[in-house]
Amino acid sequence: MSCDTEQYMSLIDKALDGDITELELKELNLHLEVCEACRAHYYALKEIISDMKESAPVVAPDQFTENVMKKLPAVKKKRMPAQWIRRYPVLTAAAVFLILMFGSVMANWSTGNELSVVSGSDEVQIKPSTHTVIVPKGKTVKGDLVVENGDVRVEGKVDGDVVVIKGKKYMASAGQITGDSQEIHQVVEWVWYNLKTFFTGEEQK
Amino acid sequence: MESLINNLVSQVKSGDQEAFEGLVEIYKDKIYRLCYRMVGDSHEAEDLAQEAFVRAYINIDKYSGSYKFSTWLYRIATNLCIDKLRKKKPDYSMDAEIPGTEGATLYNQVAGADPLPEEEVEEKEKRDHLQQEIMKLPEKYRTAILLKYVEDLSLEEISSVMDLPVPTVKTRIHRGREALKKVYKKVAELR
Repeated sequence: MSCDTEQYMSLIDKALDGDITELELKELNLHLEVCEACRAHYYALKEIISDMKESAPVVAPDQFTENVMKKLPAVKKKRMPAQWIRRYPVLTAAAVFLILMFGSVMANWSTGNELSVVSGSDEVQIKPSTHTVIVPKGKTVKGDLVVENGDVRVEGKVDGDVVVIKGKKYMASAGQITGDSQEIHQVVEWVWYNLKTFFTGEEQK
Repeated sequence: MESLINNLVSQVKSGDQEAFEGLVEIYKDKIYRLCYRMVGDSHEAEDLAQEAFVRAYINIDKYSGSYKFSTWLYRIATNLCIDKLRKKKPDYSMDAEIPGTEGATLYNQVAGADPLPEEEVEEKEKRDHLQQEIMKLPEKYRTAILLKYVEDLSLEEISSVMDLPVPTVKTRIHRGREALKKVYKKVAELR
């Protein structure tokens, strides 16, 4: 080439990149008029570029979108909590409540190993030495009898339910319970019992 | 347009899978075309383009919005294509002579579709040839050239798609252009 190649090559590159200034473009055009080599180079590149741009329009195959949608993972795991709260506010509130409730009941379960009569203590004999609560012969406990951390010996009569938590219930032959009787040994039962009494309003005291 | 896209993106981010369908519809042709030009095979291109969208969906939380969504999609798609090309590097070429024959290449063996008018044939040949030449470019030049001239992206966009500084992108486009020119010239002379 008979010209200052370097300089005009960079102008040609700029022109093809689309970031040539007006002044530079004028300079380039003037040069192209006189320099055949640069002109040939410039137009050859231009042809390639326009061929690339005009080459047959390629479009995505049919059902492309459907196929993509089928491949997507079913539910987004990470977003679950936020979505849940927005979609089921009542359910979420209920779940939170249950968790807290469960927690507090659990705390009650593990603390304390002392024998105690939670309700129905009026007519019974409490024997801490043997961890036993006795309903004496001929006596009647009015209402439910609930005992924690000990056994119950029913020789008399209980006019209601008997609930023994972490303990056993012994019936003497003359013993009588008019309601249900229940022994609770496990946390789950304990929680269930608490929830039940909470919701049915059968307050323990 | 831009706000529609941002809307769709934030819907997808909040878990609305159906909003993603809109995004696929908007970009499917561009992404498929890029993949097709990158790998030169329509089946592979379809697989790659679909995979690009699936990945975009799975990683939608990683899209920060500091650049265009299309830029991000292009980046996923080009990376997938480049991976694919690297994996299948030792591949036969359609240009290679079939052993035991004289001058027969796989091109001659591929049965042509319905006969086309002569002009169209010539145009098609030219395009096929250009695609072949693009396929011969090293990936890094190919990606830059395609993003620039087929997808019509700005140098800045290409720079974020390829994660390279603008001057490097420029150099790659220039080199790719030069390489194409050399082979193209030969063909023109052969005619």
